[in-house]
Amino acid sequence: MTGYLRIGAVAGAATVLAGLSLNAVFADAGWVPYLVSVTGTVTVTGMGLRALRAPRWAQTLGMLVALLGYLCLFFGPGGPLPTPGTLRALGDVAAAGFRDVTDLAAPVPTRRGLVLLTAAGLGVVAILVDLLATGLRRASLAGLPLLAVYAVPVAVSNDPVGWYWFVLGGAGYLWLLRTDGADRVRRWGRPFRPGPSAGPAAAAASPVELPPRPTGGIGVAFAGAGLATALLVPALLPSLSPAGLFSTGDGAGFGRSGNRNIETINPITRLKGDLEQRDNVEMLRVRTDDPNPFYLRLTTLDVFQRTEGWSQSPLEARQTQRVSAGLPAEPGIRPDLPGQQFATSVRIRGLADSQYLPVYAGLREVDVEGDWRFEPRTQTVFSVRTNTRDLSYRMRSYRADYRPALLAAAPPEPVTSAVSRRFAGVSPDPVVQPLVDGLVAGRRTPYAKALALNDYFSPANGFRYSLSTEQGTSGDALADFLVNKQGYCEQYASAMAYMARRAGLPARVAIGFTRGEKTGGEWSVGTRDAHAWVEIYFRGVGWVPFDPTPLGGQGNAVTLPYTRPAAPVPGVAGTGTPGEAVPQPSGSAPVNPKADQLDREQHGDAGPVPPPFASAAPASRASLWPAMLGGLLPAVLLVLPAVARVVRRRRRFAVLAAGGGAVTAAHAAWDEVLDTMTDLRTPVADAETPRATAARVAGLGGFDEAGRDALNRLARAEERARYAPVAVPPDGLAEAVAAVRSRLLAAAGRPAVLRATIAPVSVVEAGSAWLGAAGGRATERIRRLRPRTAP
Amino acid sequence: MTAHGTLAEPGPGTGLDDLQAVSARIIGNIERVIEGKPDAVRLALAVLLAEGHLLIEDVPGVGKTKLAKALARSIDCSVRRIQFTPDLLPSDVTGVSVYNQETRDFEFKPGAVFANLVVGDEINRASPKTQSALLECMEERQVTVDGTTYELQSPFMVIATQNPIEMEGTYSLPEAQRDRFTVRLAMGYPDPAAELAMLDGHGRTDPLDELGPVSDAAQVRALIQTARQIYVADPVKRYAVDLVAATREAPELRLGGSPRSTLQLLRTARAVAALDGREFVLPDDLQALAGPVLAHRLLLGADAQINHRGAEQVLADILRRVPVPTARDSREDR
Repeated sequence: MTGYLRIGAVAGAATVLAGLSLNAVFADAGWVPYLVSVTGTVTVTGMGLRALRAPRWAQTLGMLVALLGYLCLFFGPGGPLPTPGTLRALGDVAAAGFRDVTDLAAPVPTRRGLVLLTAAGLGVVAILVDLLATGLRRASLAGLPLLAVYAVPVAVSNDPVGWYWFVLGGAGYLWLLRTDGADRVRRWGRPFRPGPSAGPAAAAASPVELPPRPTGGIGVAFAGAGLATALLVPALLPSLSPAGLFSTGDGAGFGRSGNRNIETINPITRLKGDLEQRDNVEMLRVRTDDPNPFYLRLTTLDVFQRTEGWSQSPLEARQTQRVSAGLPAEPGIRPDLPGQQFATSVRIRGLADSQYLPVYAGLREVDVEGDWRFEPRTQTVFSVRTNTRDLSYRMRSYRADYRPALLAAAPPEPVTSAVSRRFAGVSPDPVVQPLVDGLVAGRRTPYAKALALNDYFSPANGFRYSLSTEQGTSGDALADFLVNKQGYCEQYASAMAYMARRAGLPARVAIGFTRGEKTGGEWSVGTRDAHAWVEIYFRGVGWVPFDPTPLGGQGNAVTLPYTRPAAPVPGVAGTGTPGEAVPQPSGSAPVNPKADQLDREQHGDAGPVPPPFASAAPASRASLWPAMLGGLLPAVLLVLPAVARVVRRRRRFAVLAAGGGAVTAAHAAWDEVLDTMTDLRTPVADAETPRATAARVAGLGGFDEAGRDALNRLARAEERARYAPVAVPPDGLAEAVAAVRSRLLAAAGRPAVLRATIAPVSVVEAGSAWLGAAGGRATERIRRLRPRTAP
Repeated sequence: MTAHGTLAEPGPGTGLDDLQAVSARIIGNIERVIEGKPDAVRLALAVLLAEGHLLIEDVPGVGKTKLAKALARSIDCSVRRIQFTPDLLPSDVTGVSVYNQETRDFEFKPGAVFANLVVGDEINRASPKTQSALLECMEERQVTVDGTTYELQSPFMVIATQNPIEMEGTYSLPEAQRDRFTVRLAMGYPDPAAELAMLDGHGRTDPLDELGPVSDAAQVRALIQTARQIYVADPVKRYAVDLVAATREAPELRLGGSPRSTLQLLRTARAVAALDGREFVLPDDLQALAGPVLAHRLLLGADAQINHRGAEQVLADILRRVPVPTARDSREDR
């Protein structure tokens, strides 16, 4: 096999190895054959064309054609020929794939559309890698597309991507580099192979077989060391993301089950995943003196976008908003709001890495360890520094008693109010708007409108609770849901909140848990209790929860007394029956056992079907904080050298200012000059004496008489400090350093100065020198052992 | 001629300042004759202070002999000049025992080397036997004739000149013998201005005739003592060793510097530092002296000869390669 063909084959193998990391994205291994076959197709085509000595553009074109043919053959209706019909079918499959991309949360099932997109992407990567490694002979650049492949699972998967995928991908890349390097050496001629095995006959028999040694030995050792460092250093660093590289949780693996030990809840994204749990894993335990607690809220979603659905505007909270500093009272609430204060203690069990703290509405006080902050607009307690793992905390909350009379008396929220501007504005939908208009027609008070909307989502109107929602055809998940009338809490809450906004009511979607099951004196909240509901703002009353999901559809949902169908005619205040007037322990209303059972069956049966409502945006919102922290680390690493450089300079000037020892001062001054030169990419040779350096630098330009004087003074002080028996106390070294620095910087020009500031090479060199100091000392010792004889 | 110098102890005032003052006088004196060659003059004086010997190798007529003579005349000491010819005998150099009829005993007639400064002109014209007689004296600073050892005077310096162009009928110094010379100096042509000035000056009289001594042997001995006291930091010593070791390891060289060359390199560096008024040696001194002190001792390999690379170029490469001792090195030694 000639070198080019060999590199092509290795490039294909490297693509496959890097592509395997996508396993973390898929729920099963059904896509792997496609990975191998598409890469194989592209690679073999490229090798064939190369063997035919086709020009580079023809190779690329040929590989693209082969990729298209492959996609048509495996994903189209007919043969490999890209007929218009085939292409249209491919487009449909791809469109379904794109929908899945926006709808599904990783790990995704190996659906046809997703596999098509994956195969196409990997095919393009294979072409790129092939082109870079063999066509352009830039094997090192081929690492970029390979890295891009690896970045996909890292970015998409909620779970940590197993380190072994990184090793596999890295090994593939290194293999490619090594093959390329060996080929480069080989092209200089056949290497001389010592040893008995390389007789002339053997050499003649395999004239191009290259022993890997010329480039192998040291290179492989370095590559291995680099790979190991890349693995070990992050493991040793304190992890910023909830789960590090070596998470003991479920790593990526082929055909893993949905059964996990550690639970994660991100708003909406994980909602369905939790609801689909075969086993109800306990998430937290609540002990409260509230006999009839309501739902535990994690956070609320305040932004609706037609394409992406409900999501959360970025949470912002300053240090002063730590929950330990006390919680602000919700503004605009009438002081005589009836209700009662309760104390609650919560122990987190399975809810390991939530960055939202499950709390009751009307929170007055939280006693929790860690940097938890309260964001008043979404009424969320969250943390970017810690999570709920193994947390125990206490809280006091005020459970308002929302009597129908109270709500009915609430006036409409002015459309110009801050709350309206934030929570009511939403773009109209041609399908939904007539429905909303019909429902609220004739309802004057906000309460009446809210009730009308809430009541609409009743089984009487054909709504059914189902985790297996049907995939719509209109592309509009909201309209689909309202037509199909099948969904689970997320759809119900999303739809009602949207409709409420269209009806002019400030509304938002709340994410959290239903109150759980009472066992002993405690409430046990499990994965099945994950829930979404609606909160509508009533002027003077605040955010009032509504739960449009059909009763029993969700875990341990409760019926709210003010939303019961039996409630008095909405809008007529004070005419309620005593049942409504008295705070109704609605939570004690028995959960419909049948519905509950049905629900569980549905949960159990529910296949990995995507929620019709877009979950991509909430997912990205929710994972924004770890992503930001993850982005912060590289930023810190980038800034670190610059900071270190400034610190070094300050320290040296401090030494000069302190007027310390002559030797120390001279060294500090001269080191600063040398480092400045190094940073400006003006190399300073090892074999150059201070005097010679000064003479050279003075000739660089930009040095006037004073600058040359300063430079010479520094050089003389340094050589004296280095080589003289007694150093002379320094004089004006600090000024000299400043003068020399200013002239060096001025002569270098703005871009070089900027580069020197941002990326100071001297710090890196000092760091590596420090690292190599031990080795250097050992070498020096050996060097000194060498006999020195006098004549 | 006999030694004029007295055996005075180096008294006060022979410190670095004195050395500079005296050397400035000597240099100024020589430069009245040799114009436009301050480096060569300085180097020659440095060799004297380093107790070395000087080999001046250059084409005829650039002032080799004149430099030697000027240096000799500037110092009030005994000077001998030997014009080397093929028929010169070793005894002409070292001296000979002659039977004295009157005393009925052998009497030692000292040869030409019994002087403070010995100028050996065209040393490559002498037979190897005579050459080696001189070279023995240079190294050992004594002469042994008929079992009696005669000490040479101090200071003792041989200034040999050699013409590299005229090879007919010469016995050029073997490289091993060149090792005895501390410094090889090439005069080089003067620049036009200096040559013009020379025409003016030499047109009327020979300035050499007007040259008087500005120092004496005793003073030079004191200066030599001062130069010996110059401090050399350990890292600088190691740098000298590294430099010479690098010549031994250079693939382009068949023969590198000898340990003797290391010693002489350092000695000359001390002298140069003293002439500079510095009480310590810099790596710069070693770098500047590497060519003059080392180049004539090196034997080029075939590769270097094919590539027309001289010893100076190889040395320049080595100087670019061997790292100078840095602050860290000096810290470790303290």
